[in-house]
Amino acid sequence: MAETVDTAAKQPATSAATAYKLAPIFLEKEKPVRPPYEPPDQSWIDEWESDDEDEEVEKKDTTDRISGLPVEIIMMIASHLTPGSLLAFSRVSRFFRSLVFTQRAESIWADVRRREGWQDSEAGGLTEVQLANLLDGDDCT
Amino acid sequence: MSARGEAEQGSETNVTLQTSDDEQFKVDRDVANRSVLIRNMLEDVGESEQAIPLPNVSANVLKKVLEWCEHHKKDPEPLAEDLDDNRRKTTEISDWDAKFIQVDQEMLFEIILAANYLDIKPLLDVGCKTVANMIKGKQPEEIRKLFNIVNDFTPEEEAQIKKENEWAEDR
Repeated sequence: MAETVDTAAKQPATSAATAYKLAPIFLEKEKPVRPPYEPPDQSWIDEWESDDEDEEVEKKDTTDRISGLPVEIIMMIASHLTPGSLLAFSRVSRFFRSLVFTQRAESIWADVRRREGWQDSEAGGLTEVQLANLLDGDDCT
Repeated sequence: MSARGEAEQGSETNVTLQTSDDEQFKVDRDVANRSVLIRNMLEDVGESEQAIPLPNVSANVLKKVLEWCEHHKKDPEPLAEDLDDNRRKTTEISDWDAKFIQVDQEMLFEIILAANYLDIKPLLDVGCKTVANMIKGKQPEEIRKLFNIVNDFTPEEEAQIKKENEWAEDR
């Protein structure tokens, strides 16, 4: 911006002369030199955009990669959780909830419970998933 | 057992692996043998100068996976039951592995997928345990934020679930 203003100021005569050679009549009138083009104030756009960039730099990565993993890998991850965090995990999304409360998840609940040192007999004849559902409250009300 | 013996005989030779982005890696056979997929391929093919194509693994990921294989090439082959048992019992990760897996999420999940594809169980385990450790002790909202997961429960469902789970706030 500043540069454009400078050059325009230094050579108004030459540029005016060349520009209006074919229309000298304009030279008689008071300086018909157009002011250099001043773009409309778009700083708000810059701010807006740079704000966006800042956010992107902060977050960098907005892809949900974990939900895209093969189900068996998600199950493998879940099997390393504690009972409490497995429940928290089930509350993250419908997809995870459906994974954690299925027949397939039976062995995961067993793994998780055993690692915590909970006795299997605590299940009192219920399957792991039934028990989890019970703990989760679905059958309590 | 005999298959393992054969693999050991050939352990001085090199194996060439070709990534999805057409880079080639030359590695010791016992490094490549950490991958059950590659080991089986080598046993099927026998001695061959030809590169083994790995169309599901890119160079930057394979480089990382091979780093793990190199470090663990001398690991004794665990018995299947031991492996399963260990996996169940502990969520611990060795110091070296913990440092190795300190990567951004993209790479972490790429490593997990590659370990799954290449059939490197101990590495897959390290990856899964790492993700599990990231989840542990967090509230659902924190887990969503960490992995960019969209909350697709209705507010009513969520209120209900939260109420039901109040006792279970992670210990």
